Amino acid sequence: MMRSRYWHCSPGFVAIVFVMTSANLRAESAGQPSAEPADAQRAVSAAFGSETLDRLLVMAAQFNEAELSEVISDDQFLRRASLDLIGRQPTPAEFATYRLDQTKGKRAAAVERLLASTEFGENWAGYWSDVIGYRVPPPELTFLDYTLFEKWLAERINQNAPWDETVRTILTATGKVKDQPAATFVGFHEADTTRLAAETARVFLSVQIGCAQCHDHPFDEWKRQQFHELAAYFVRASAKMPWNDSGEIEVKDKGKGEYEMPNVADPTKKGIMMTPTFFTGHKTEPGKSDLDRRRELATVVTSTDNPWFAKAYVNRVWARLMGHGFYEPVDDMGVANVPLLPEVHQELTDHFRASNFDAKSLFRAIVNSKAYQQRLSDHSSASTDDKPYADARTTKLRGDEVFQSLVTAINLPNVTPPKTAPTKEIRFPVPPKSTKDLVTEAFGFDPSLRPQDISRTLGQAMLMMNNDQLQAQVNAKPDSNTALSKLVATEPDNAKAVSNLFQLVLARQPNDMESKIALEHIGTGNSRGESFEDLLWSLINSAEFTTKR
Amino acid sequence: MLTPLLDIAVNRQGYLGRREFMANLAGGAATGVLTLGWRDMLVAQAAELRKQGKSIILLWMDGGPSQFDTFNPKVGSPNQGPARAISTSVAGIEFADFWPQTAMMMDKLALIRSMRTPEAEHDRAITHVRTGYPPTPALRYPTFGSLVARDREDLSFDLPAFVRIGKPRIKNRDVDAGVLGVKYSSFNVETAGALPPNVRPVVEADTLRRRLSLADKFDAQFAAAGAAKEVADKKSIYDRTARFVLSPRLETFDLDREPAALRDAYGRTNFGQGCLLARRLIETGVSFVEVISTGDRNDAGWDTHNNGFRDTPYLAAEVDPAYSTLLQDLGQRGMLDNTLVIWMGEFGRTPKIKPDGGRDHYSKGWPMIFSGAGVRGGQVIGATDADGVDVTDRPIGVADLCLTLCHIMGMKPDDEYRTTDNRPIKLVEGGKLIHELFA
Repeated sequence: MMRSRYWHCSPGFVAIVFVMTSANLRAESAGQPSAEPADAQRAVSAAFGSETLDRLLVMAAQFNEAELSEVISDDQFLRRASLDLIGRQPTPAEFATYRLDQTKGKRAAAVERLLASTEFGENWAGYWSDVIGYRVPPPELTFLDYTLFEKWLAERINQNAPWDETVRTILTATGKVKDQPAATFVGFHEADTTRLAAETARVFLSVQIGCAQCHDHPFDEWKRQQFHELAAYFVRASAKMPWNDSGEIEVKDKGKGEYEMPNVADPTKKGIMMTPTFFTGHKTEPGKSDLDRRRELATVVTSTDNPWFAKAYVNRVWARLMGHGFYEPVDDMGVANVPLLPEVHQELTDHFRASNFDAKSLFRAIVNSKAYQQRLSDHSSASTDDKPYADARTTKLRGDEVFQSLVTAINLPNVTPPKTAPTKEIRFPVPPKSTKDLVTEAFGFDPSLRPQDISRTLGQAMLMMNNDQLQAQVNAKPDSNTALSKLVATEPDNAKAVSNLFQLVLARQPNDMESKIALEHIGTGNSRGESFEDLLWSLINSAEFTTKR
Repeated sequence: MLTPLLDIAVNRQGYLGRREFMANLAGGAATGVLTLGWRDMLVAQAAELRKQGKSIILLWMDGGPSQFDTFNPKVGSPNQGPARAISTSVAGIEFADFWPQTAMMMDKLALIRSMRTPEAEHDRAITHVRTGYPPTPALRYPTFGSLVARDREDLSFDLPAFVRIGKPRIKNRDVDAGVLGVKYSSFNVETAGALPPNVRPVVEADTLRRRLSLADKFDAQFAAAGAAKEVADKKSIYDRTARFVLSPRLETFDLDREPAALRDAYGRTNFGQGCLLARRLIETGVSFVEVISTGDRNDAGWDTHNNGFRDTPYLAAEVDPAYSTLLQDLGQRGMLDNTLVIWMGEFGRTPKIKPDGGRDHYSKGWPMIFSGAGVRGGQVIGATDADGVDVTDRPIGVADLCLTLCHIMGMKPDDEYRTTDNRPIKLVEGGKLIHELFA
């Protein structure tokens, strides 16, 4: 899958100086499960829940108690939580089950079901794959395919593997991508030292050190040397780039070499040799193997003593769930970037760290909070700047969320045309695009961008309006065997059929006005089937269909 | 700045009905925006229209064509290879003999033989030559067509400002709108004569309009529920899209409307038909059209490392009739005065010939051609030595090229655009005008 990329040098981050000894570092080797039973750790953090979060927000003057009670309806909650957790709207069947539940804790129970679904891992693996992939420049002769990485990461997330362990595996993986999908990060970046330094800091720590590659950072305290000391951790990694198939990319140890910071005054002259050193002052002796270097880096990056690691993860998850991060853009927690509600961010971070990086527990705390369940309101007025989380804001669905929502709404089949084998003449045939690729390419965006920088496009509108695969499903004729034709055939009552259609596409019941609009449309002369085709088309092409909240 | 007014008063049709104008006038006066009189407006419009009138057709020779086998033959040099030189319509200027038709157009061409650029790897050279900036992982610079699209943005025009015809031979070496974002990226037509997927509605126009209006009604409900901004954003993009996919101007893409003889003259190749489509698009008001030549036989295109002596004649046979017919066609329609036609690749090829007749990459002395848009034809600018190795006169670099393009298009080179994090970037950094073009 190709992604359009936005690279920029971004101002702002702070060097927090603190003391750390190697004894503080957790010595687990990457990729191995934690020795401690996760449940014991998790019990420690059980004290922190959604109520704590809401109390914090009240303390931060985001709400008063009265406002806090004005939460969305049960139905709205299920759509919102489903889109956020499993990346699609709930099906009518899921709704039916949910509505039957009369117990007080039905929302919390629904959250548990969603977190237990394999779609949860698939959705969030897609998020992380986008976070990484949108900044990977395509290599010259290899087509990058993130499917293997997404599958691997989805399994990790579904097992609720601690986030630090997962990141250590990503940073240290060696071998062919097809055998070790975690090697995607280093391999797809072609083991490029400077890119890996900048991206490791940006993706996993929300630290923007990339600009310091060429000059001391203008706003922050990062020095050029610190950037190159970080790059030195990757100096012995190599990636063999095959033609066409990215699964064949192989990450391995070069076996020798030390990193030199280029001489700015005269790049043709010899540079200065760098000892791999992390921002915290942790050093790795020169001469070590590739794996030793990357293991040491992975350990310091994911250490509980690292002030950025847990905080960066919490910021990203919060931003996606709440529509706006504590820091925006989410990948820049620099000193020039003033955060919202730093106390709340810190409490959540402490909780995440204390829970042994238990991601599901973090999701649970946020999604079950009343803050998350606030009503939508239009954040155009200036007064909302003071209370950024006092009500919910809209968020665009990511590319794969749009695709999964289409699958749910209209049973959109995922068709992949046959692959063309390379020949002597055409050595680099572009891999065919599946239906999913077409949708995710059109609707995809770099999740590190600020929400206001993610715009709707002509390509998206044309796809939704005219794409023949989509339009084939907007067919009410009895022999078409589409979801729409079944809906129209099985429900002779127009009002009920309209309700069912809204339920299928927008996962809610129409309001009175919407029912009226729909029924009037059905009454305007076209055949019943045609009218329902119009209705389905207009719901898929509504702003709401591709929007969360 | 007159721009805010002109956004209202000038559209791509070039005029506004008097009633519409008066309505704008009234609206402007009411809000206190309008301070210019009727006559000032007309003058300003005329100036703006002249500026807007200039367009570019870029004929992109993907892979880097050999200077010896195109427009800088070195007869008598051991580096020349089998291509012989032929005379052109201008005495004393010679081309390689694969270009008989283009040779007859020399009086319209300003041929630069002294491009000297630093990059000799495809991806780096393409990035540099087509964005004006050296490649860096830190920032994705926009290609020149996107800068033009940004400059010429006209929301009343229902076709895209930047169209690309054909496809790059290797996808991953491409450049795009970069930090400017998809809004200014090219509209891509892979096969000249056929519209890309998703443009043509699969239903009747009336049905589409009916559905759009129904969607608007539902959107109004969503807006009332707190999503006003989301709905407004969506509406603006849907309005534009609907105007595009329902535009009568889509017939511009239909080449069956052209006489068969003319289509034959352009050549029945994707490149030849692409050049014809380029003319039709410029005629309709598109500002930047790029037509890519790859030969369609393999994905080596003009990158003739191996068997260059065998392949170059095929490639030239695709470009020669198309290029010359395009210039004639534009000339006959009076469009050449306002259309700049550029012929170029990312670099040239080594003077040294490989045993099988191929040549490697070479960026230290390669040709490109300007014509139209006020450029004086019939001249050669710059030179390389007798063996085609070094530039001996008038070396021209990438910044000079981009600065000159800005000059022709009426764009200010030190105009700035902003990256997503608000960093200002100039359209062109440095460079000197290639003044001979206009002398």
